Amino acid sequence: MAVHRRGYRQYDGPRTPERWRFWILSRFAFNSVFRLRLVAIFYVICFIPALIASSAVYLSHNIDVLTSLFPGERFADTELVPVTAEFFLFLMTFQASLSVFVTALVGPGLVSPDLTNNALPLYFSRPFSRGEYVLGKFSVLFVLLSLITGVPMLFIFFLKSSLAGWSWFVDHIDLAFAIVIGSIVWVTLLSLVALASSAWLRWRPAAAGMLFALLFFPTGFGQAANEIMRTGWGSLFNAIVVIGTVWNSLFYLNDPQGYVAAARALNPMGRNIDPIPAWTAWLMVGSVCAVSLLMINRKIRAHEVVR
Amino acid sequence: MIPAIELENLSVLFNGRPILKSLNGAFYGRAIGLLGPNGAGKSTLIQTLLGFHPPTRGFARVLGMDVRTQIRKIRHAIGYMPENDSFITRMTGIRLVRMMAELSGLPPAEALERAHETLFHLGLGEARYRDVGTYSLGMKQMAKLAVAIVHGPRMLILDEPTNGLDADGRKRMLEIIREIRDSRDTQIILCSHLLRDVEECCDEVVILKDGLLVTHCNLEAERRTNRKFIQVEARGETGAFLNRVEQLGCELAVNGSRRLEMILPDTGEVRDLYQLAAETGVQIRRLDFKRDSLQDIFLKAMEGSNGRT
Repeated sequence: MAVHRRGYRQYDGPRTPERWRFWILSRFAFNSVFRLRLVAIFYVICFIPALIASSAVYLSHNIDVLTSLFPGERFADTELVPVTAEFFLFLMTFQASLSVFVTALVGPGLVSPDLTNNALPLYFSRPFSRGEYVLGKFSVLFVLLSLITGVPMLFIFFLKSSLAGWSWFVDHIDLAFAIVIGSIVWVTLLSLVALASSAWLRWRPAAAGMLFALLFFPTGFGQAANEIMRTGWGSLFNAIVVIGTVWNSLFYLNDPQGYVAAARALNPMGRNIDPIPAWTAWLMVGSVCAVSLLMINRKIRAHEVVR
Repeated sequence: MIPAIELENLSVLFNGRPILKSLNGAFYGRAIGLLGPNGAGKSTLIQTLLGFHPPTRGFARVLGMDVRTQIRKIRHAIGYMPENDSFITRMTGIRLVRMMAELSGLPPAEALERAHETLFHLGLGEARYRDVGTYSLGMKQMAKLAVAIVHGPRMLILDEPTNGLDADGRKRMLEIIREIRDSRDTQIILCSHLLRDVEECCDEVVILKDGLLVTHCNLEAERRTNRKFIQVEARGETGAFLNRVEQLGCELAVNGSRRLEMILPDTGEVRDLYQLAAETGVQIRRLDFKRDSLQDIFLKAMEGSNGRT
C-alpha cells in the first residue's frame, strides 16, 4: 500500500542497539552543521595549515621533488622542517586557535534550539537518557575539533615515521602520546565549555560571544592580578597559559629543560615571574570541565521544576 | 490482564512540598482520561510515569513495568505528546519525526518510511519538507502527535492534545485519537481540562484534586447505568402502576405523588413502562433518562475530595 494511504499501526520490528543510539543525534547534527555554507567553507580552510605542514614534511624527505618543483634552486641536504616537540606545539597552537572559531560557529546551535522550543521532553520520553543526549551533542564537537587538531597532527607524525624510519618512530613515540592526550584535553575542554554556554544562553550569538568571553575575559583578570600582586598565579585564569602549560607538560615529558624554557616562554609578563606548576594547570582544566558538566546537568532536564 | 497504569501509595514531593499524595488505583481502560483543575497534579503524574520525576514514596507501574527500575523499557512502549510547544527549529517536519523514530530504536530506513506515513496520515504530507518552526499552531499539534506515534507505541500519553486548535482541528484530532484507540493496539492516557474531549474519547476517567485521586470511574459502565436510570412524571392514580412496575423488577423511588425515579432491570425496556401505564390508566407526561454526565461526575468530585476511588 502506498505510504500516504496507510493509517496508524504498531511497530514490532527490529530495534537498533541502544549502545550507539547517542550517535543518531550526532549524525543529524553533522547534517545540520554542514548545511551552513560558511561553516563548511571555514572547516575546509582549517585543514590548510596541516596540509602545508605535511607537505613540508614530505618534501623535506624528497628533495628531488622539491628541486623539480623549483628548478634552479639548490636545497641543503638537511631536514627542511625539523619535526620536534616545538613543531607539533606550534601546529597544535595554530590548529587550536582555528578550533575556537569552529566551536563558536557550531557550538551555540547544538543545545540552545532544543531548550528554546522545549524539545527536551521529546528526547527524554524515549529510551534515551540525559547522559546519551550530552554524549551525542558532545560527540559532534569532539569529532569536528579532533579532525582539525589531533588527527592531522597524528597523520603528520605517521607520515614522518614512514619517511624517517622505524627508529625515528620509536624515539619519538612520546610525541604521538602528547598529540593524542593534548588534543583530547583541549577538544574536551572546548566542547564542554561550548555546550555549557549553549545550554545557558538560548540566543545563539550570545552563546558564541560567551565562549570567547569565557576564554579571554578571565585572561585579562589574571593578567591584572599578576601585575598588581606581582605574582604568577593570576596566569591560572589565562586560558592560553593554562592549556599551553598542559601541552608543554605532555610534549616535554622527557625533557625537563625544554619544559622550563617553554613554560617561561608562555609567561605573558616576561621571564621574571615563575611559571605556574603543571599540576595546577591540569587541575584548572579539570575544574573548568567539571563546572561545565555541572552547568549542563542543571539545564538538560526533561522538565523545568517551578520553585 | 495487566493494568495500563497501577499506582500504589504513590507520592511525589518537590522541595518537600507534596504534589502527589498517596495515589492508589489500577486503571485498565483502552482510553483513560486524566482530569483535574490546574495544579491538581495531572502533569506531575504523567511526568512521573515517564520517569521525569522519581516517586518519593510508593510505586507506579506502566503496562506492568516499574517506573523506578524499568523506565527504559517503559519508554520503548510509550509515545508522549507534551502540552507545550515542543519542536526543534531549523528542522523540517520529516527530519524531526524521523530522528525521533530513530531515537526510539527504529532502523533508519524504517524510521524514514514511518515518518512519511505518519505525516501523511495526520494531514501534514504536503508540509513535511517545511521547517517545523513555520507551522501553524494546529500543524504543530499534529507534528507533536506524529512524533508521539511514529514508533507505534503500546501506550500513548497525550497532554492537552486539543490546546489551541480551532473547531475543525479539534474534531480531526479527536477523530485520530479515537481511531488509534479503536485500533485496539494502543492504550491512551488523555490529560485534558476539556471534559468533552475526555467524554468523547475515553472509557475510564481519573480525577485528581490537590494531589489526591478523588474519583476513578468507568465511563462505559456509567453510561450503561445511565441508560437504565429513568425519571417519570405521571398523572392519575399511580398505585396500581407502581405495583406493576415493581413486579417488572424495577427499583423504585417515589418523589412526591407524581414524580417517580426507577432503575429498569437488564431485561426491561422503556416501552414496557408505557404499556403498563396504558393498562393501569396512568398518563406518562414526561420521561427522562437521568444523564449523569462527566460534568456531573467532575463537579461531584470537586465538591468532596476525600481521596476516595
